[in-house]
Amino acid sequence: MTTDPHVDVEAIEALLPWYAAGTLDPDDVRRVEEALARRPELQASLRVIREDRDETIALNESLGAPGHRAWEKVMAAVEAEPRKPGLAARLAALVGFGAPPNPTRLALVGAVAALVIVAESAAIVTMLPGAGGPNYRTASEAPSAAAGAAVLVAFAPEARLDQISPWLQQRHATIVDGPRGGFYRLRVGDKPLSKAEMSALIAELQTSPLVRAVLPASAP
Amino acid sequence: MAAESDNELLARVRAGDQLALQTLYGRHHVKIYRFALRLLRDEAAAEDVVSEVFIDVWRNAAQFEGRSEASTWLLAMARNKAYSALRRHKEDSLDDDAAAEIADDADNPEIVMQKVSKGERLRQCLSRLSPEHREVIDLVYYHDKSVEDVARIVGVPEGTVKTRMFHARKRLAELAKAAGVDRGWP
Repeated sequence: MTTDPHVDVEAIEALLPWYAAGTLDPDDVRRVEEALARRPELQASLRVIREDRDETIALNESLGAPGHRAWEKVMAAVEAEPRKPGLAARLAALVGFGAPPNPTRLALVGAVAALVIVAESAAIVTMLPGAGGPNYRTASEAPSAAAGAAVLVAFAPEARLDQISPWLQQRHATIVDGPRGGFYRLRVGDKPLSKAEMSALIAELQTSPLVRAVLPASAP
Repeated sequence: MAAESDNELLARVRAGDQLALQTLYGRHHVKIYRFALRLLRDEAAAEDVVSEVFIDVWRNAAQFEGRSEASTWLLAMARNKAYSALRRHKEDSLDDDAAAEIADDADNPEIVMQKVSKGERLRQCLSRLSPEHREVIDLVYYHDKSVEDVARIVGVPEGTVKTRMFHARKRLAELAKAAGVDRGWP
């Protein structure tokens, strides 16, 4: 390796952090790699930068996540100034086996949803490189006290409540929880299904224009 | 099943869709919280920043022009709110910083070296950087933001971002050296 006096070491040095992070555009990546091949001192810098980057990631990953209070404040503000009746608010009234909605229950639904969103995002975090922690569950693993087959359903944004209610009734389905990151937990029928029956059910639910996505959930 | 992009979710938020807001929150609230917490060093205040950012998303989703990633927009809002909080509690923050300096300097480098690993020492040094240096290091190394994105979030020209990052690295190296971690740079 030779020391090439034509390399603008300062300019390349300034780009190294973004090179290490993988956020440089292709032209700059090429410039940096050419300079790295010619100037050994830049390689030493890059090693230090990678160490700093690794410890920065480790430090940030150790900081945890906000409590559900943060989401409750968002929901309180959203409920106080709705732009139009949201599907979430309308569907929240259906949670709880058809009992009439009341402010306490809606607040509980909001709190449950907020808690689960925290857990869901934590699950996403555990999938990131360098993330750790075995204590998070994905939404599909969330427990439920209800009987029957359990699925997670995201309704289409244009789906209306007066369409969803009869759709649920026709399938002997009830919303028992949610939304969790856009998904509602449905109890369908009154007995658990085999794998094949579950696949058939998901395929059938997926055909509805009211539905955006269906996922299997753990057996209740 | 392809997940909806942040831009698609923001379009739904603009139309008043609370589900979209929840999904966006689920995707980004942890990183927003960590960014704010690194600046504020106060968990309750960082949680407040998270709430305020997503309340603003609900109110002002129409202001997102899509010229950058949604996460860049969210981090810029979080930064503004964190710095407003820092300004409100300037005296307390300065007291905390001073206390941290005193505590950190209590052991000489040799004793520190015996007590903690190299990684732990570097993480302590990262925590002792100024807010200005902490944020640029975090945005580049943890939030994977480009020069252009950092410039947008911090509100300075791209050249300043590069210079600030260089000085942040230099200061980190000085702190590391003082803590017994000499890596031969700069």
